[in-house]
This record gives sequence, C-alpha cells and structure tokens, in this order.
Amino acid sequence: MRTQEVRLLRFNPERDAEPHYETYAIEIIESTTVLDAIISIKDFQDGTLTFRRSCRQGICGSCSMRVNDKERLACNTRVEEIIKEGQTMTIEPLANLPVIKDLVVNMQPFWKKYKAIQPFVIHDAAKPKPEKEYTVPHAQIRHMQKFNACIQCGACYSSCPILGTDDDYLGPAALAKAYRYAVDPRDDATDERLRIIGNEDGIWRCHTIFNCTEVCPKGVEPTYAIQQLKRMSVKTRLGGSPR
Amino acid sequence: MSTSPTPGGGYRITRPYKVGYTHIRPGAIDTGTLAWLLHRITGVFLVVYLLMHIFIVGQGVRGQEAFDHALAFVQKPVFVFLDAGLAGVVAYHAFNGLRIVVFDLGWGIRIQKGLFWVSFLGSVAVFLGSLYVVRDLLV
Repeated sequence: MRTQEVRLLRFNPERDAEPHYETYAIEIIESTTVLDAIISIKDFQDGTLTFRRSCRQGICGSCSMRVNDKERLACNTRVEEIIKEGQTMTIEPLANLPVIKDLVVNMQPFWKKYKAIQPFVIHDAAKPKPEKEYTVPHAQIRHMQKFNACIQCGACYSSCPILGTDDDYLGPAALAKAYRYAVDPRDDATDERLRIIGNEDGIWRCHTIFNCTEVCPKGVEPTYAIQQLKRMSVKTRLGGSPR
Repeated sequence: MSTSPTPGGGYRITRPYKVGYTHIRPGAIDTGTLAWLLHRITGVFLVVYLLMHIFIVGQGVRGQEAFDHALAFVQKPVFVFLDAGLAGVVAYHAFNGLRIVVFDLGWGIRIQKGLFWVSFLGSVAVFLGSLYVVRDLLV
C-alpha cells in the first residue's frame, strides 16, 4: 500500500476554455491498475471525471490513454509496473484526436480511415467458388492472426508523430489491417486496396518511426505491415504479382 | 476549446483541441523516434552546412586574397573540431539512411533498435576517428 500522486489532464467543454492538469492522491496496492486508479478518483474524489472503459481485461480497446507520455491500455497496466515510488503518474487523452471531454477523444477520424481501406474479404465474383470451404494454410493464418489481433484502441494512432502533422495520413491501424487482407489468400481485392493506400497519404507517408509497434498492447506490428505493403505496391507498379 | 450555447441550452464544441508536443516529450521518445529525430536534425544541419560550405569556397570568385582570408578563418582549431563533428553527422545520416533503405527492402524491421545503435555508435566512432586523424591541428 502506498500513496500515488495522479496528474490528470482535465477538460470540460461546458466550463473550460483550455485543458488543465489536476492532481489527485490515491492509495494503491500492488495489483492496482491505471484503470482502477482513475475509477477510484471518479468514485471518491471527482464524479465528473470522464473516461471510456468497458471490459477491464484488454479485449475491448476502450481505455487506451497516454500514461506518462506513452499510450497504454489503462486496464492491463499496473501502476507499480510503470511508476516508481514518489513519481507522479500523468494521464492524458490520446493524442492526434480531438478531445471531447477529459480522457474521451473523438475517434471519428480513426474509424473513417479504417473504413477507407475496406477492412473485409472481397471475393472476385468471376472466380469459381470452391466446392466446400475456403481453405487457408496454417502458416498463413498464423501470420494473418498477428495483424488480426488489433482491438482498434487507437494507441498506435496516438503515438504516430506523422499523424501529429498530417491529418490525412491513414495511420498505422488502418494500414496494418490493409496488410492483413493483402496476405489473406481468400481476398481478391489486393490491387484495389494497394491503389487506395499507395499514395502520399497512405503507406508512403510512413517514416518507420516504430512508435506504433512499440505501443501496441496486442503485439501487432504496423510498421512491419506498412513496409511489406510498400514492397507489394512497388511490385504491382512494376507489373508483378503483389504476393 | 471554445464553446457556444445552442438554442437547446446544450453546448456545441466549436474548436476541438489536441494535446500538444506529445511526440517529442522525453517519455515519448523511444529508439525509433530518436533515430527519426536525429535523422531529421542531421539532415537540416547538412543543408545549412552545404550552404556555408558553398559560401566559403565561393569566396574564390572574389580573388585570391579573399579566398585565402576565408580559408585562414576556417582553419582555426574550433573549425577543425567542427569538421570532425561534421564527419560524425554525415556518418549518422548515411548509416541511418542505409538502415531505412534496408527497412524499405523488407529486411531487419524486427531488429530496428539494434540497427539504430549500430548506426549511432558507428557515427560516434567516425567522429572519434576523425578527431584522432586531425589531432595535431586541434591546438
């Protein structure tokens, strides 16, 4: 049991002109997560504190926020794991997205870009259908699963310095998802998807900074995916097959 | 963010705010960010250096005296030290540039941190080696 100082970036659109920091002191134990900490602040100190959370077990991706300048899921990050005794814990909303209130950001730009890459399997209607099911080799499904593990929490989107300067950049999450479909043998729309993402606001905007790979709570590697997509894009432009 | 009351008595968000300077705070700078920032800074430095270099060498068009004067100025020990630093900056920009080219070819993406330290320590070695080579001119 120890006392932990928590610095929260607060913003109430009905009252504040600018966001400001407020500091709270809470008691924590070894198992206290960042989410436990802010729930306790909301319950016992300031009921107006607003944040998103749902499953509390790293599945839903609602509670991603910046804890000491790094994007994390509040629910599966223990305070003692990342904050030394006597250090202040600073919690802020995700960057690169407009803030609605306190720790709640408007995810609309994120979803728009996600939708833009057509995140679903597209069959070529002209191709013959298999007699039974579509089969995918085991190794391929394992590779796809890595990029399919995305829970759309927006941590990578917030960590990307490029998105801080270019609002039109598709962003790591959408591009990693595009790669997931580009390597899916059931999908026939790779060429079309490469046309959507093969421009200056798509894969070519990535500067391989690796922040997205670093912060992803699910181990997705958007930078790896984007680099592979760059290769595929070059190959198709040169007249080859993308895979 | 400013707000304005709507006829319904509620509030409309007119100017969304974003948290500023988020990616260049110490806690947010990871190996990849550091590599990127250094690459940018060395790149800008090289452009500025090139202009200065052209200016110094360009003194030749103003005659031999002006050229000798300019060269005597840049042969001071402090400029010799800066030349060694320039070698280090060029080396970092070159090594890290190769690191990025390697990523674009689809290789080494999962060992990016190691590759950064190779290019960083390599450029430090080039800097120290250059200092050793010009050690007699430093005093």
